[in-house]
Amino acid sequence: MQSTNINSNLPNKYFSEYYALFLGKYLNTVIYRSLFRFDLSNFKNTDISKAELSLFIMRNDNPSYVKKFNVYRIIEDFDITKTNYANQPAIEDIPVSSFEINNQLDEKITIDITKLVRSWCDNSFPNFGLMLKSSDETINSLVAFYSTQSDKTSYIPSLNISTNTLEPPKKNLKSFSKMNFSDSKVYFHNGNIHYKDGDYVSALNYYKEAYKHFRSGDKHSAELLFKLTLTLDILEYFGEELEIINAGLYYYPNFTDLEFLKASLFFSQQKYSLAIKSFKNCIKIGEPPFNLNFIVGVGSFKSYYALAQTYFELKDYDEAYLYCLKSLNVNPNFTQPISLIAKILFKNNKDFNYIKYKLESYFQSNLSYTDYMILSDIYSSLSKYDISYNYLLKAESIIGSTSNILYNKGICLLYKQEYETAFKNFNAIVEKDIDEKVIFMLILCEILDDNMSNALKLINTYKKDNKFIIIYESLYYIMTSQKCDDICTDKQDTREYLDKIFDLLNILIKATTPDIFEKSLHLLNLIENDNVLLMLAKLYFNNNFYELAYNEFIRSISMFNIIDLEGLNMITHILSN
Amino acid sequence: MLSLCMIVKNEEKNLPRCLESIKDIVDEIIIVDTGSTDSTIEIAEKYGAKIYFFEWNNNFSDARNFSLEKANGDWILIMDGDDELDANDKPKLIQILNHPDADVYYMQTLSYLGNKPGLNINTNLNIRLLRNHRGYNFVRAIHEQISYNGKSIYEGAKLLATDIKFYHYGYLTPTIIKQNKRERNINILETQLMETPNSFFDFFNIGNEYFALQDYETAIKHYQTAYEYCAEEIGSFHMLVFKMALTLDNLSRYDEELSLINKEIKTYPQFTELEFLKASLFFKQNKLSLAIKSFEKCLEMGESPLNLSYILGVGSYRSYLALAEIYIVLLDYNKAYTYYKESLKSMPNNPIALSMIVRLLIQKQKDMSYIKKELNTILSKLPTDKSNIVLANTFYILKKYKLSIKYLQKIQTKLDVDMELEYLMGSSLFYLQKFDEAKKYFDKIHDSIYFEKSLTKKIQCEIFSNNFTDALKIIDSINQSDRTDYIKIVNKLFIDILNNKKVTPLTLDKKETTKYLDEVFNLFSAVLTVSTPEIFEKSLSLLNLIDCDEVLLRLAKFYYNHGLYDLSYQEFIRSIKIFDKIDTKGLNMMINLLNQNN
Repeated sequence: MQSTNINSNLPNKYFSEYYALFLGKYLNTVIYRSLFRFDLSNFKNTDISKAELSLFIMRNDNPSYVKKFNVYRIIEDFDITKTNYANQPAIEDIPVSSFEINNQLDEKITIDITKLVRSWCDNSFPNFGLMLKSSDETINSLVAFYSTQSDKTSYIPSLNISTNTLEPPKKNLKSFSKMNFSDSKVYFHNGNIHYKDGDYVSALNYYKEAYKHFRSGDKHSAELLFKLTLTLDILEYFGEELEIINAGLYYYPNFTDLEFLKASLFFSQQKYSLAIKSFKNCIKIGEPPFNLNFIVGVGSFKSYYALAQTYFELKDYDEAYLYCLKSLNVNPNFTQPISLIAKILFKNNKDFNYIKYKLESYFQSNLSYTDYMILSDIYSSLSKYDISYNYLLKAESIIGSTSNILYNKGICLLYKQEYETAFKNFNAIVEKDIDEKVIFMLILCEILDDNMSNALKLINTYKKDNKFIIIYESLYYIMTSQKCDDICTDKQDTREYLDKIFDLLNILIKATTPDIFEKSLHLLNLIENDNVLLMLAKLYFNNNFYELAYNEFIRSISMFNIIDLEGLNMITHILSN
Repeated sequence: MLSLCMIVKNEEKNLPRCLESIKDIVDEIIIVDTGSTDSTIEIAEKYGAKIYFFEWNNNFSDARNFSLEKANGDWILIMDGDDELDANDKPKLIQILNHPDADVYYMQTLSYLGNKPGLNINTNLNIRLLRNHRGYNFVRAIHEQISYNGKSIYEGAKLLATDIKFYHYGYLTPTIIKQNKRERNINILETQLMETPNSFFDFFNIGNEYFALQDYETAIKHYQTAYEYCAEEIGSFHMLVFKMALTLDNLSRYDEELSLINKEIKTYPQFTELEFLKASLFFKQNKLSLAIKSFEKCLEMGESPLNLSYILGVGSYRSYLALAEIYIVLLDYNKAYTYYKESLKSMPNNPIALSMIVRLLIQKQKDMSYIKKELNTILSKLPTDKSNIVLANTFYILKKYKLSIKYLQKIQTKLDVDMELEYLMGSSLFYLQKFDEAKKYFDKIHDSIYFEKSLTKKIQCEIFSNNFTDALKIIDSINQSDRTDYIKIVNKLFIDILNNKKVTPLTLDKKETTKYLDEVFNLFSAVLTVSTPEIFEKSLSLLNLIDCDEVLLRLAKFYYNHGLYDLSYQEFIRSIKIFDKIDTKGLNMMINLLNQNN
């Protein structure tokens, strides 16, 4: 395969040796398009059942909205090494297919190009390759993929072709195995449908049926193992999960994803020694072949990062730091390690400016909009809202006032208790698109800023459209010292309401004074659920109020007999510090 | 010609062991008695010793030098009544006498700490052998130092350290006697300090005495003064560092401990003991990854050189053992197994490690014949009797009492001074509910560290055989003492409860409460194993007689340790509910209980 991209700003320059492929509109001016050619000589006159082009997204400048890209057939011959924007080959007027990219980053997308490949192999069209371009080249939409020239071999583009000519099966088994094969596939397919809907119990039943007919040679088998493992994990059948993983690794020894899931299971069970062993094993196995790969980076940066997290849990901060660096070294675009580094540096009481300098140094020399967003997140999670806000301003100066930036700014200002400015930012979003959480925040700003009549107005405007507004209405009543009714009497729905209430409390605990927060806790009296104290305890814990957390854990046990593993670990943490 | 020189007082229990160990290599035995009232003199006479009397003047060096004056040999061997020469090292000693290349020899002293001979060995270097008639004598009233023609030993003396081993049993003497000795020592030292103020050795030695009395606050003050006076070229400086670190550890002053270790390990890069203390500190602080690295470092360093060696095995079995324990905490049982085995390779005499090996093998679903084979391989280096004792202990820990008895019966020669074998036999029979037979073994035990324990079990033999009057008779016959008070109280109350008599609550202070509870939970273990659930239920009311908010927490842990997991979890919850009491150990147990349910 060969690839290149062309650039409207540098129309005479060639890019076929560049490590990245750009696509879309950049900073309202530059247009990028990507071109591919494929050598299909081995597939002449072969019956193609499926052909997918896999690309790895390394950059996504506009994660806040969906961008549509089209695939075009190229209709004249050209030399990919000598192609630029000025001499680009002609394409068909109508795209063959299209695909979308939303906020994906550091992951693989697959583009179905079966139609094109089939037409090349059965000789109905000459094979001059394809071109990708944005469906609307007037809107900013820049994304980038690793090109065929990248030395990160696991991330370079690949074309996966399935054919209908199976290897000749052994005579006697032919009809028999064919039947099993289709059974398994149908069950698997049904499992996937339920999995997608979040109905994991049904999904598990189908997957298990499919697994009964498991044959390692079947095309869907690896994915079946993967999905079955995930489902068992979600349903907390950890013993069975481990059995499936071990069976899977027996069939596919280089199926790193499974080893990674095993390691993650050990991690969640706090079996850190086994987790370390397993994550290290992932790195030893390396990235799996594409047909066995569902999570990106399991053979390298993801496992390095997981090792960093494990050592962090074991309070070995030096080792954790080293593994963060290793992860960043393999994939600088995978930025989660930077957050962990920040935590480590703060734990080691490093100087403020040093930390800032150090963190910024992990990004490319010119910090991009996403880099600033990440830095803002890091400082926000460390409760440094001023610094966090400054990074948001820098991001804004690059990309403009997107909804995402406005929202983050609003939240940051809320935490800084600058309610009026926060309101302005949230309000600016409403002019573009209306989202429930933005409405919630507008009401909250008004309440906290003591503009009670405005708050009531907003509540009444949106009340009929959103059932959760009642939570904010109740907060309004509480803050104005009025009587209010229970929020939710239907037991079925309490969990949903409770989650929303805790979303609100999690903001309030940072955005207001202890007095007002305490007053707002009255919300919890308006809903009946035995988990409230446990959830409150965890809220306190996550916001570093350890003593309050401890008291609520004890109250939860005393009053409701309720505690869980996470809670016990938190109490242990409180007591051992 | 070799002369043994000793100072003794009331050593009738130890002296035979001591003299037996050297009688065929010394040509002369000089014994200076400072006032024995037991049969020490008679025993010494039996070994043909020349006996002299010296009036005790609170100065060890004076007595020591007096004994030196009486010696006729070319060489003098120095021992105490409670020392024993390692039989394997006799040839080495003879070799030195034939080909000496120094005037003074330091040799290793292995002290048994804790309750009984076994794993806890502390090593130290002491002067054991010196050339006679060369002007060497002892100075300082206590912890005597050698001097050469009146000068400090570090100028001009020819000194050598060797790995010849002596065993010291002094730390096994009952605590009260030890306490008196300590207080006497402090008096001597403080008098000496007044004569020569600003002395490193005196501050250091007083610190050591307070350390032994577990008065760590006072100990650290003296150590810190010594530390200021002293530069590292003084021979005992490294020992001071080691003791200081231990003391800070006991005081939970972990940051200070760590910075002291990090500083001094640079001075003594081969001092494995320091690395070991650091590793143990990390383990205690739950910094398991750092602890692993540090224990691995210990193994890499190996044992300290002789002059820095205080704890035997820090470069080998002790670190392996600690690693095994860490991996148990991390639930990595394969690694734990490997490390237990490594540890046992150089120290097979460890019933606790062996019992873990058995547990891990059972967990791996190995059968009994496989397990026995494994144990035999591990113990193949030990003499048969020793390995039988270890196995008896191992199966006792595992509550396999019949097996324990089987191995006890295999033991051919009885060399046990502490009556460990009687106690094990009696207890095993006790748990098998053969109370009459058990009593016979407990009756044999006097004057041993097992005395109190066997007394308790003797009473309980009667109680569980429903001979309440006999039980009360034993209780009434016990002499008043600190250590037996609560044995009497608890068992008496238990009898009253069994007889449905009314019992009245006790008013105890904190220390008393702990003693009471220790005895109560001892009783619970027995009831749980040998009696019925109804009686166990009844015995629980012993907890209601005192006012203590830790009872439920202790009960929960008791259930957990006896495998009664559901009850355990309930009690933890009750402890939190009623008393608001929980700790990290308890939480870890709760976490394990929740994990088990998944």
